[in-house]
Amino acid sequence: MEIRECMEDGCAVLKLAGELDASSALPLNEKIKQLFDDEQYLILFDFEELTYISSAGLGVFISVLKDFKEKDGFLGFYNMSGVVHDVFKIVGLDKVLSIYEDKSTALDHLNAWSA
Amino acid sequence: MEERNTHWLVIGLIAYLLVIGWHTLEPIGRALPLFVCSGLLVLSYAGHFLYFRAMVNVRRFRSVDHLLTVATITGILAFSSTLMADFSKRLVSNPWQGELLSQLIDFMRLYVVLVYLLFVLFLFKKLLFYQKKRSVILLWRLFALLTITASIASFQGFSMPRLPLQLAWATGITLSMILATRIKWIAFQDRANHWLSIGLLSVIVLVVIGLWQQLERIDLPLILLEHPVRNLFLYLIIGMVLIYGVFSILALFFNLPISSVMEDKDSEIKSYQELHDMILNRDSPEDVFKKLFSVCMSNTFSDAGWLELRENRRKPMQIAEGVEVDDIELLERSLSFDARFEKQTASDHIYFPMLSPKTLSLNGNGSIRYQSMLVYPIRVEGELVGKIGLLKEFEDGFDDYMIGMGKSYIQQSKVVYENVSLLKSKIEAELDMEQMRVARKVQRGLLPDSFPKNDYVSVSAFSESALEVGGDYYDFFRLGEDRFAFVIGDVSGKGTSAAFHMAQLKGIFQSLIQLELEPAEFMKLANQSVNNCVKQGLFITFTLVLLDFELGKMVYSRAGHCPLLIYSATQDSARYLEDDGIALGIMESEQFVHHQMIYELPLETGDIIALYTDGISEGRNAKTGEPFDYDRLLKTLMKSRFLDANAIRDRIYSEFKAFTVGDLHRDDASLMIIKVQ
Repeated sequence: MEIRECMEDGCAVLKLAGELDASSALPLNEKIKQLFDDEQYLILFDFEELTYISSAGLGVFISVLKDFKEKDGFLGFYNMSGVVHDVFKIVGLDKVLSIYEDKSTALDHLNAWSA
Repeated sequence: MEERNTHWLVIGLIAYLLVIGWHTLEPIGRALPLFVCSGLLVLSYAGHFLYFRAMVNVRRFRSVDHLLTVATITGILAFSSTLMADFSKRLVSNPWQGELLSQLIDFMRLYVVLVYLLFVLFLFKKLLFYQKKRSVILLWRLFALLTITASIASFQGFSMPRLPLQLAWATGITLSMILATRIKWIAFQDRANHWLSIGLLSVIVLVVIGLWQQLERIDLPLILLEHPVRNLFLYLIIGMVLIYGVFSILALFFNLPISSVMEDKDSEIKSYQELHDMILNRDSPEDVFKKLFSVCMSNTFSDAGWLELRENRRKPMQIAEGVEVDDIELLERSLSFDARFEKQTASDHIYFPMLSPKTLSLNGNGSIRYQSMLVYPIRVEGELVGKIGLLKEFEDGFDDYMIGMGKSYIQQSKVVYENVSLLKSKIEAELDMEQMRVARKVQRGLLPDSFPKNDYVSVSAFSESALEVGGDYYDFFRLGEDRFAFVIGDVSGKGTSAAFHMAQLKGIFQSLIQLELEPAEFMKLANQSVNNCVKQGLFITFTLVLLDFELGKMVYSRAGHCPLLIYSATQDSARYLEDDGIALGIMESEQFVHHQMIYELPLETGDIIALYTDGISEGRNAKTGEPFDYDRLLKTLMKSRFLDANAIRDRIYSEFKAFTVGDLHRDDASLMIIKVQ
C-alpha cells in the first residue's frame, strides 16, 4: 500500500492506494501517530485508490478513534469504493466514522464542523 | 605375513648346531667336504633372516621411541653378553679343553651378533617404511635380496672370484646410503623426543660398532669372518645399520630448530580445528570468543592480554590475563581504540611496536611494563562488538606473521559465531513451531468438534486458520429441550493475538449464554466485556442466533459480522440478511445499544442457516484475484440445499478450496451450517 500526504485547508489529506491489510496497517498507524505528534488532528482519508481493506486495516481507524475524540479532532473518509464501503458497513463502522461522497463534501463538512 | 615363521628359526638353529658340531668334533668335520659346512652356515643365516623378518614385522610398537628403546636394551644385553664371553674365554687355560671351550664361546658370540644385527636391521626397516612409498619398498627388496645372495660368499672350499663380491659390497653400501635418506619419522617426533631418539640411536650405533669389533676377534679358523668381502652377509647388515643410524642422528640434530617451528605450526592448526569444532558443539558466542582469545594469546606468545565483548548492548564482558583492569582502562583512555575502530571501519588491527609513557600520555607517575601492544577489533556483520588486546613486555614483539595469524583466527571465529547463531535461531524456530503446534491443538479444542444429534437441527462446521492459530470462533449452547443458541465470531487480525482474544470470546459467550438473558441484553454485555478486556484497535465481529422450536422462530443479532445466509424452504430461495449492527469493542455500551438490532424470522423444516467468517467471502482466486464472494457462496448453498448439513458443508468447503488454491492472502476461514429438520 502507498500513502500520499498533502495539506488542504489546514487538514492533512492522506491518499491510500492499494490494499490495507495487517502488513500495511502498521506504517499507516505510524503515519497517524506522527501527525498527532505534530498536533495535526484534522485528517481526511482519500480512498479512491484503495482496493481492499481487511479487519486489521479497520482496526487502525478504530484504535485512533478515541484519540480523535479526546483531541477534538476530525477524522473523515471519502471516495470509498463499493467493496471497501461494504466492509465498513458490515462491521458497522459507517455509524461511527464520517464517510463522505467526495472531497468537496468532506471539506464542506469539515469547515461547517470547525465553524 | 602375520605368521611368526618359527619353522625358519628351527631350520636356522639346526643348521647352526650342525656347523658347531662339524667345527668342534674334528673327526666328523674332516669327513665332510668344507662346502657342506659353509652351506649349512649359509642356510642358518637365511633361516634366521627369514625368521626375524617375520618376527619383527608382526611386532607392534607404540611409538618410534618405544622401538628404539627395545633396540637399545636388547643391544646392551647382547653387547654385554659378548663382553662376558670375551672375558670368560681369557679365563680358559687348559689348551685342549680351552680350544673346544673357546670355540663354543666364539660360536655363541657369533650367534649373538647375528641375532642382534638381524633384529636391529628389521627394526630399522620399520623406520624406513614409515609412510612408505613404492620406491622404498623396491629398494629395500633389492637390498634384502643382495644380502641373502651375498651369504653365498661365505662358501668355502673353492676359490671365489673377488670382483663380483666387491661389486656386491659396493652396491650394498650404496643402497644402504640411499635407503638411509628415508627418515620421515623424524619429522613426526616432537622436540623432547628428539633428544631421546638421538641418545637411543647413539647407543645402538655404539653397540653395533662394539659387536663388529667382537666379530673380528672371533677365532674360528674354518669360518671366514674377518674380511667384509668374504663375510658379506654380516658386513652388509652392519653397514646398513651403521649408515642408517648415523644418518638419523645427524638428521635429528639438524631437524631440531625445524621441529620447534613445526610444533608451533601444529598448535596453530589445532587452534583452527578447536575453533571449528565449536560449531558442532553449539557453544555460545561468548565461549567462541573466549576460545579465540586464548588461542590468540598462546599462538602469539603474548605476556598479557584482554578480551572485551559488549554484544547486544548488554553488560560488557571483559577477561583480562596478566594485566590489571585499571591498566586496560588507562590504555583505552589514552589510545582510544574504540573511536579508531568506529571511524576506520576497514581497519582490522592497530599495532603499537613501542609503548612509552609518552605515547600513553602518562604524567610521569603512571607506568606500564608492557612495551608492545596489538589490538584487534571484533566485528560482527560490520558492527564493532568487542576487541582483543595482546601485550608483550619487550619492544616490537609482534611480527607480520603473528599479526596475520591473529586476523585469520578472528575471521575463523566470525564464521563459527555466525554458524552458531544460525544453528541457534534454527533450533529456536523449531521450538517456536512446536509451541505453535501445541497452541493450535489447544485452540482446536476451543471449537466444538461435534454437535449432539437431536430431532430439531443437524449442524456441521469447519474452521481453517491462515496461520497455526487464528481468531475465528464458533460455538453452540443448548438452552432447553427445543431451544438452541449458535454463535460465530471473528477477532480482527490473525495469528497469536487474535487467538488469545478468540479464547476470551469463548469465555464471554459461554458465561453470558447461561444467564438466559434477552438477546439485546446479551449483546450489550458482550460488547461491554469486549470493551473491558480487548486492547484498543482490536474488535470482534459477532453473530448470535437463537432457535426456538416451540415457537417456531429464530432470533438473531449481528454485531458487525458477515451477513447471515438464509435458505428458506417454503420459498426455495436463499438470501443474505443485511441488518444493522456494530462490531463488539468499538463503541461504549450506551451508544452500542442504539445501533444493535434484534431480528426475528419464522423457522420451517428444511430451512438452512449458514454462518461464516469473512475468510470465506474474501478468499481469493490466486490467478484472477477475484474474491469467492457472497454470490458464489449463495449459489453453492443452493446447489446443495437438499443434502444434509455435513454434505452441504463438505460441498462448500471443496468449492471454496478449489477456488482459493494458492491464495497467499488467506485469512482464517470458518463455516457453520445449521439445517432445520
